[in-house]
Amino acid sequence: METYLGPVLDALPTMAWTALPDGRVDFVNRRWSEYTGLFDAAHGWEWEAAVRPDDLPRMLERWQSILASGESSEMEARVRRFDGQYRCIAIQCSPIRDVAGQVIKWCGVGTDIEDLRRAEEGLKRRELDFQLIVDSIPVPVAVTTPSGKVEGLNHLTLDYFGKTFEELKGWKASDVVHPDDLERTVAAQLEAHQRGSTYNIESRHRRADGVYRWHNVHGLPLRDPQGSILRWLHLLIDIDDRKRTEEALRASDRDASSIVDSIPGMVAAFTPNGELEFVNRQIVEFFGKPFEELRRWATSDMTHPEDLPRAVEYFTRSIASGEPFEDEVRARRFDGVYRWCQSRGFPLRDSNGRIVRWYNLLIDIDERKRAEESLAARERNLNEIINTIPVLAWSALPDGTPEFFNQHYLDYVGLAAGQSEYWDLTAGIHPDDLKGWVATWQAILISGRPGEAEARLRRFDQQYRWFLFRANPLRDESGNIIKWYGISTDIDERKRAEEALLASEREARLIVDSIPGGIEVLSPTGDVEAVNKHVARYFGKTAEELKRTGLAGLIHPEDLQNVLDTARRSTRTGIPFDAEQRFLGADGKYRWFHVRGLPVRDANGRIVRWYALHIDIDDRKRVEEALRESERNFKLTIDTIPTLAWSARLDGSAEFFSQHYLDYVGLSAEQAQGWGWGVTVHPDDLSGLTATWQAIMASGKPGEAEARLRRFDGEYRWLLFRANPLLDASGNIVKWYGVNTDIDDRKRAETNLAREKQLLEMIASGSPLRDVLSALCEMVEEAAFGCYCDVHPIDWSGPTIEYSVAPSLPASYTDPIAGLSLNGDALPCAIAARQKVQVVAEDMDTDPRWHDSSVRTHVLEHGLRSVWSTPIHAKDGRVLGTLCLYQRQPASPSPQHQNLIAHATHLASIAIERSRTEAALRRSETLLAEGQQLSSTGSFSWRVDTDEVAFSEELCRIFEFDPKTVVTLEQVRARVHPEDVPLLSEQMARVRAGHGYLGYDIRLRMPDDRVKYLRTFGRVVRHQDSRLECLAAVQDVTERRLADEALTKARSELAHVSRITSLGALTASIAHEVNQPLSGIITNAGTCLRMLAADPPNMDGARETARRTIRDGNRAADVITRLRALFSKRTASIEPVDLNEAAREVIDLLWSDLQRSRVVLRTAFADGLPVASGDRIQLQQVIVNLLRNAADAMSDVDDRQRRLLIKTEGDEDDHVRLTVQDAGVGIQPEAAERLFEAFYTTKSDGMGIGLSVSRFIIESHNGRLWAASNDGPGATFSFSIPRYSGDEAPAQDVSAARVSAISSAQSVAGI
Amino acid sequence: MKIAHPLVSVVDDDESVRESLPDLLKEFGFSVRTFSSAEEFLASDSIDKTSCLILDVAMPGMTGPELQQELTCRGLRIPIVFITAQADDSIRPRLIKQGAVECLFKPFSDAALQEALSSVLRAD
Repeated sequence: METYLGPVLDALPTMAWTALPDGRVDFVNRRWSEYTGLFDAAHGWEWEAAVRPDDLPRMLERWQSILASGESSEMEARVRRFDGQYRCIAIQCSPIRDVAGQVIKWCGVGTDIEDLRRAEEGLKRRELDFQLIVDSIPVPVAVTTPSGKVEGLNHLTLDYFGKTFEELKGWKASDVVHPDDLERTVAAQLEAHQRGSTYNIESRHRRADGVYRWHNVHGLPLRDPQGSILRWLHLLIDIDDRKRTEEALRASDRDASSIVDSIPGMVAAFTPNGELEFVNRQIVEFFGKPFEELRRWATSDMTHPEDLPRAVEYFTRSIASGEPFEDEVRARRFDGVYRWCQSRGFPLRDSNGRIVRWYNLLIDIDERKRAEESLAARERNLNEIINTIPVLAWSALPDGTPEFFNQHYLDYVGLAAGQSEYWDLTAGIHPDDLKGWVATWQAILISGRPGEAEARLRRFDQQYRWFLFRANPLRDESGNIIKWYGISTDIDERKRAEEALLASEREARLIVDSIPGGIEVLSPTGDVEAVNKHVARYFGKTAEELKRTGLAGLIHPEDLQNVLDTARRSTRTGIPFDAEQRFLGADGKYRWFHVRGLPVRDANGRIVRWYALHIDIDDRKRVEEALRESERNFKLTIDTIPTLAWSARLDGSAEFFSQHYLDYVGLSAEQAQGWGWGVTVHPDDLSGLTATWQAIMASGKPGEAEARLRRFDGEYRWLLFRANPLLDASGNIVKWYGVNTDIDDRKRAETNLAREKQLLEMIASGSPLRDVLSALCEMVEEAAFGCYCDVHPIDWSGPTIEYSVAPSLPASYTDPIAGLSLNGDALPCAIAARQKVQVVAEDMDTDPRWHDSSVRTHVLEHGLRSVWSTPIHAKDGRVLGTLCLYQRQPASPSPQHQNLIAHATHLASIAIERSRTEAALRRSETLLAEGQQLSSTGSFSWRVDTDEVAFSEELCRIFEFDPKTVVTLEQVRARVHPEDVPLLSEQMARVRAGHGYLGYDIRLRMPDDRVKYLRTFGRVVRHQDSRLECLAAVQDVTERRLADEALTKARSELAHVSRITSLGALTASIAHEVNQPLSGIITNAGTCLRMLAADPPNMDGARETARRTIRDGNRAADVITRLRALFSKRTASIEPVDLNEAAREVIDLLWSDLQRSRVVLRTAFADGLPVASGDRIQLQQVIVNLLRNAADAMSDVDDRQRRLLIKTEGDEDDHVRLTVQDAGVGIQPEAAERLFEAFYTTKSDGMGIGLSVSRFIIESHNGRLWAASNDGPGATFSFSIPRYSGDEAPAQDVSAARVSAISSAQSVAGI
Repeated sequence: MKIAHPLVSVVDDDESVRESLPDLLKEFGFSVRTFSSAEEFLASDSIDKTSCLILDVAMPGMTGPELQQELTCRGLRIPIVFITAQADDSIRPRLIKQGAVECLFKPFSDAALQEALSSVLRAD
C-alpha cells in the first residue's frame, strides 16, 4: 500500500502528506515540497521548520490532540512558502485504519487559505465600517440577512424598542408591529424580499413604553457588485405625528358627514368651484339616483325644465360671486313626481374668509305650495267683486304678498287681468320713492293697523303719478289678520303743488351752491341743516346724508378734538368759528380746509343759524408742509454730509450745529448753542478766532479763519472756519451759515514743513547736534499728540549710547541712559540699534520681554508705558542712533505715527551724519594742514584758461613766498632752477594739451642759491564748462634727496655690518671646524708623549698617534684654506660655478649650526645641473644667508619637524635656480618684497641686512632673488642666475659691498 | 689575576676624537668603549658598566645634554665629562649645574682630561 500511496499522492493537485500513527510525517507529496521549498527536510518532525514559530506550539498541541482522538480533524497554521512568505494553511487530517479499526497511518491535505483569510479580515473591517455608518444614521435602522435574520441594529433602534441587541436578534414581526398592521407589513416585506426591490410600508411599532407609534418602514436591499443581495436595510422613519393629524382629519370629516346625514333635509355639498362633492342620505333617497348621476344635475331632468335654467343661473352666479342663493324649484323624485323644493345655497368659509365648500339645502315645500294654490282658487270670486270698485284696489296676504289687484289697478298700470299673477305691489313705483314706500308698508304690516304711504306709480303710458296708498287689515274672529285690503288714490295734483314749492327752495339752494366754496348751514346748536353742492361733492354724499350724519365723522381724527372744542366754544359764545382741519373727501383723501363759521342773528340778536364757509387750503398747507419737510431735509442733509456745518445768529452766537459737528466735538446741541462751542477751541486760538469772527460779521461778507478744535477724543485738530451770510430778498443779513473743514493734515504738513525747514537750517548752519536733535524731538512731540520723543546717538566703538536728547523728559530719565552699553540690559533702543529693527513695546508693564528687566522699572517709574524705538540709519545702512517715542498709556504706532517716525529718523540721520561728517572734515582739514607741513607737501591749483594760481600755505613756505602775496606764474618761473625752466615749460605745455596726469621732479633755486628738490604730482581736471584746471601736490624732497645720497653712501658701509654679522655667526662655525682637528691633534700629541714616556716606550702607539696628529693638522689646514677662500680679498670673478657643489660646501660649513638648530636638512640636487655663471664665493654667501634665515625662521617651531629643503634645478631662459624651502613662521604676502629692504627684519636680533645684500649680489649676477609663501607652513626663497656660456663679460665690480664689508670687518677686527 | 679597569665610554660623532681619546684613556688606565652617537650608547650593554661618560655636546640626533637627561630619567647616575668644540663659555656653568662633572672645550689638554676623570674616580 505504501508503495502506491506515494505516486498517488504526488499526482494529487493539492498538498498532501502522510504520517505515522505517532505523528511523524513519513511522506509529503511534490506539491507540498514545491510549496514550502523544502524537499527532503519535511520528514519526521523536520516540517516544523516551515511553520511559523508563533504558531508552532499551538499547532503541535492540536496535532497531538488530533492524534489522540484518532478522528478526522482540521488545523490551521501559517506556513512559510518557498518565497519566504508565511501563508495560512488549513490542514485536514484523516486517519487511515486497518480492518481492525486500528490507525495505521494519517493522511493530510493542506489548502492555502491565506487569501480567504485576508478577504475575511477585509470583510470584517468593512463590516466594522458598515456598522459605524449604520450607527450614524439618525433614525432607527435594522440590518437583516437576505433570509431575514437580524444582523445589526443601530443604537436608535435599541433605544426605541428598549431592548438589547441580543433580545432583538430573535424578534418576530409580531413582537413589535401593531397587530392591525402585522399582516400588511409582513406581506409587503415578503413581496419586497421576493422581488428584491425596495418597499415602503406604514405600520405601527411598539415603543419601549408600550406606546405604538407610526413609522414609515423603508426597506432597501444592499447588493454586492455582482448584484446579489447581501443584506437588507430597514429604516424606521417616525411619521406618528403626521398619521395622527391625518387620523384626526379623517375623524372630523366623518363627523361632518354623519351630522349632515342626520339633518332632516336634503344636503348637498359642492366644492368652491361648484363640483358636487357629496350628498346626504336623504338626497340619495329622494332622487333615487347614484352619486355619479347626481353630479350631472345641471343637465339632467332632476330639476323641472321650467326651473332648471333659473336654478343653473342662480347657482352659477352664486359660485362666481360667493353670495348665497335661494330659489324654489321643482325637483323630480325617484318616482318621477316633481315636488316643490326650497333650494338654499350658502358658502362655508374658512377663517381667512376663503370659501371651502358650498352647501345646498333642499327643503320639500310641495305641500305648502299646493295649499297656497288651492287658496288662490277659492278667493278668485271676491276679486271679481272688487274689480268693480272704481278705485285702484288690491288685497295682500298677511305677510304683504299681493294677492289681488282690481281691474282699475290693472288698467292703470297697463296689465291684462291674467298678468297680475306675478305683479308686486312695489312694481311700478317710482325708484326714488320705492325705498320709502317699502319701509312704510313694512311698518304698516308689522303694526297690524291701517296705514298709508305716498309714492309715484307708473301709469300704462309710462307716466308717473302720485298716489296715496292706504291699507286696512281684515281680521278673522280671533282677531288674526287674514288679509290686507288697500286702495290707492291719485294725489298727483296736490303733489305737484308741493313740488313747485320745493322747486323754489331748490332755487335758493342753487344760489348757495353757486358760491365757489363750500357752505354749510348749521342750526344754532351746531347740527348740519344744509350744505351746498360743493360740500356735497367734496364728501361724495348727498346733503341729506350729511344732514343725518353730520360732518364730525369726516374730520381727520387728529383735528377732531380741536374742531369740537372750537365749535363748542363758538356755539356757546357766538364768537365766529375759525379752524383749520382736514376733511375726508370722496376720493378717500383728506384735504385741509379753513372753516370759518359766522352766526346769523334775528332781529332780537338771537342766533338762528350758522353759516360755515369751507375754504380749501390744502395746497397752501402742502406748501407749508413741503417747506417744513424741506427744512427737515435740510437738517437731515446737513447731518448726513460729513462736514461740520453750523449757523449763527446776527449777534454771532451759534444757532445750529450739524450732527457731524456735535459728534466731532463731542458736545450736545444744548452745550454747543450760543457761545458754548468756544470751549472746544484751542485756548491759544480762541481770541484770534473770536476777533476774526467779529471782523467777518462786521464786514457782512464771507470770510474764513483757522483754529484748532478739540475733537471728542481730546485731540486738537486744525479746522478752517468758513462763514457765509444768508441774505433776505432785500439784501439784509438774516443769519450766518458756516462750514468747518478739517485742515489738520495740511496744517500739520505746513507746521512740519516749517519745522523741517527750521531743522534743516539748523543743520546747515552747523548748530550743535544736541540743539538740532532737541528741536527734532519737539517737532515730533508737536506732531504726535501725547508722545514724548527721545533721540540717542550711538557710539559704536563701545558700543554705547553716546547721550540722550529728550527735551520733554526729565534728566532723571535720560541721564542714566547716556553711556549705557548696547550689550547690557536690553534697552529697546539697544535692540533696535543692534538688530536694525523697530522695537515696539506697546506696554512696558506687561511686555514679557522686559518683565524682569530694570529697563521696565525705569520706564514705569517715569510714568511711561509704551516705548517704540526705531533705528536711525545712515545712507550706507549703518545705525547712527535710535529715535524713541513714549506714551503714558499703552499704545501701538498708527500709520501716521510710522510716517512721522520715518520722517523724524530721516531728519535725525541727516543731522547726525552731517554732524559726524563735519567733525571728520574738521579733523581731516586739520590733518591735511598738519600733514602738508609734516610731509613738506604743498599743493596748488592752476586755472589753465586764466593762469590764476593758488598756492597752499605749505607750498608758499616751500617756495619761500610771503603767504599773503598772490602767487603768479612769473614768480614761480623765477624760482625754478634755470636748468629746469625748460622742464617746467614742457610740463605746462602738457597740461595745456590736456594730459591727465603730472609727475615730475624739479629743482628750485632760492635767492641765496640753496637748491631745493621738488616732486610734483598732479591731475588735470576738465570742468563741466570745459575749463581746465590743474591740481597738484608738490613735495619738498630736498631732505630726502640728501638723505638718499647719504644712504647710498651709507649702504656700502652698512653692507659690511652684514658681513660682520655673518662673520660673528661664522666665527663659531670656524672655531668648531678648527677646534675638532685641533682637539685630535692635541689629544694625539698628548698620547704620543705618554706613550713615549712609558717604560718601555710604546713606539708603535706613538707612531700611530703622531701619524694621526699630522692628519688632523692637515684637516685643520684645510679648514683654514676654505675659510681663506671664503674671506680672501679678491675681486669677483665670473667663472663656471656648480651650484650643487657650492651648496654642498656651504652645507658642510653650516652643518653643525643646523644640527644645533635641530634642522632636518634635505637636499634635492638636480643631476647634470648646468653650471651657472658667477662668483662662487659670493653665491655661497647668498646660500649661507638663505640657509641661516631658514634655520632662524624655524627656531620657534616645536610642533612639527624643522624641515629644510635645498633644491637646485635648471630654470627657463638658460638660468639655473636654487631654492631654499623652510617650514618656519612664513612671511606675510605684503612683506614679501619688503624683506629685501635694508634694515627690514622679522627677527628680534637681526639687523635686516642679509637679504638686501643677497639680492644686491644676485642682481649683480643678472639674476633674480625672490620670496614666496608655501602652501603649507613656511616660506621659499629662490634665486635664479644665468648659465655659464663662456663668453661672459669680464669681472664686474659687483663685490663693492663685499669688499667694503671685508675691509670694515678687518678694521673692526683690528679694533 | 685580572685587574678590573673602570670603563670609560666616549660618545662623539667626530671620528678623530673617537680615534685619539681611547689611546689616551688607556694610558690613564681605563678600559674604553667608543660610540658615534647617543643612541648607539643607549642601545649598548656598556650603559650599566660605564664608570664615566665622556660626552660630546653637539651631535646629530640626540645631543649630549639630552642623553644626560635620558640617563637621569633612567635613574642612571653615570658621571659625565662633556667635551665640546663650541667656543661658548656660557655653556659650561649650565652643564655643570645640570650635574656634569666637567665640561672641556676642544682642544683640551690630557692633563685637563685626567684631572676631570680623577675627580670622578675620587668621588667613587
